[in-house]
Amino acid sequence: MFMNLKKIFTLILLSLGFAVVVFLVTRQEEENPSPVVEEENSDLQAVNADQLKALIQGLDSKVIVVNFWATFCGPCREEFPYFVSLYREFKDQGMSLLFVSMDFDSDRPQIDEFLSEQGVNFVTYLRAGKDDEFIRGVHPEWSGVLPMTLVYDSSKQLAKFLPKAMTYEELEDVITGVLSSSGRSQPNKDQGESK
Amino acid sequence: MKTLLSFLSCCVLSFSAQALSLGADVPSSVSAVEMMGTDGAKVSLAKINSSKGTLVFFTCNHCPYSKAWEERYAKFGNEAKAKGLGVIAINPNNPAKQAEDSLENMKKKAARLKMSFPYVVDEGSKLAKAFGAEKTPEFFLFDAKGKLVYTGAFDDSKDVSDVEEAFLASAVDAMLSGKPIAKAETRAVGCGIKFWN
Repeated sequence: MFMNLKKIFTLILLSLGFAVVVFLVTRQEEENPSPVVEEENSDLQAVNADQLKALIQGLDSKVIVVNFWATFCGPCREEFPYFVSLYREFKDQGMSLLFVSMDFDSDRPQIDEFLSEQGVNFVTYLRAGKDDEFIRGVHPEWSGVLPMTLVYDSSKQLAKFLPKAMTYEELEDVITGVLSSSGRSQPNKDQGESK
Repeated sequence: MKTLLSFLSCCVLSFSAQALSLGADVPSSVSAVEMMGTDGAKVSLAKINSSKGTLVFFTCNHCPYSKAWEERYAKFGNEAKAKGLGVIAINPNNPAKQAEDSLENMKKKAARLKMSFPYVVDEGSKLAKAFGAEKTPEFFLFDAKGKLVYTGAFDDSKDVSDVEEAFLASAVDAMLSGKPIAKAETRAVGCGIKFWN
């Protein structure tokens, strides 16, 4: 009889203890929810075509340059530094730059390595979703060939569709041209680097 | 990194030639061009053309996209050939610019994938230019009348388990059964063709 009571008492204590633990854990989660880890690298964010368009529409810039590239694309890698250099030169004039990698999601390590080599310390993007849907969603005339660059003006209207590799000078002309239309054409030589 | 850079140099120049439009014929300017295959025999589009339809696709050895789909398109090409279609895989890349795309490596790839159809060298990138092909892999399907009825990607996902639309297979099925092709043009990323000149 005494042993049975002891067992019952032990069971009650264990149950109470379990209940307390569950209560505390639940409360802890409610007060401090676990951080949502959306990406392996928070500086490389996956976007579909609609999200990319929304990003562009949400920018307050005089010129928005969106470059689609991939680590496996030689011409993309060749022209990549031009974008970085021109961004440093013109960002204080109102230039925004979005890099969108068309690599596979499994290529994140290579993407990160390349971005690091290029000194990119701002958020860049990785294409999400199906190729056909993404490509058509970005631009109806884009075949999917890389590199490809879109340039928007201050009213978010597409100023240039450039489905080809660009030289530094060509890019500079495009950017200054769009900036000119926004009334700010002179690069600030005190800011950033020039080629 | 060195290896990475070497295979990255692959992808190439953008090419602005006009791509074949749906309904176009096999470009007559290149239909008789003889191309060296991995079996040592020369073959032309005219030779592999079939009265049931012909599948022409541009691919290569080095491109990550070509590699990602190679087992699928090799198997599909074998099956299409068995159904009586003409099938040919064309490597338009200049091996001087991308060593991995050499004929020797093409032979290894064809053997590894057990390709029963020709895998040939497009010397001078003549066919790629005539087709307006821009990248690898890129697929062109011609019907029994020799008209282009499908162009674009193989399917919609790198991961087989994630494929929702088998674009090329659906196009072939529709073509062979005389039905309209639901999606006759699709888009996909690929490695830009490394043109010979």
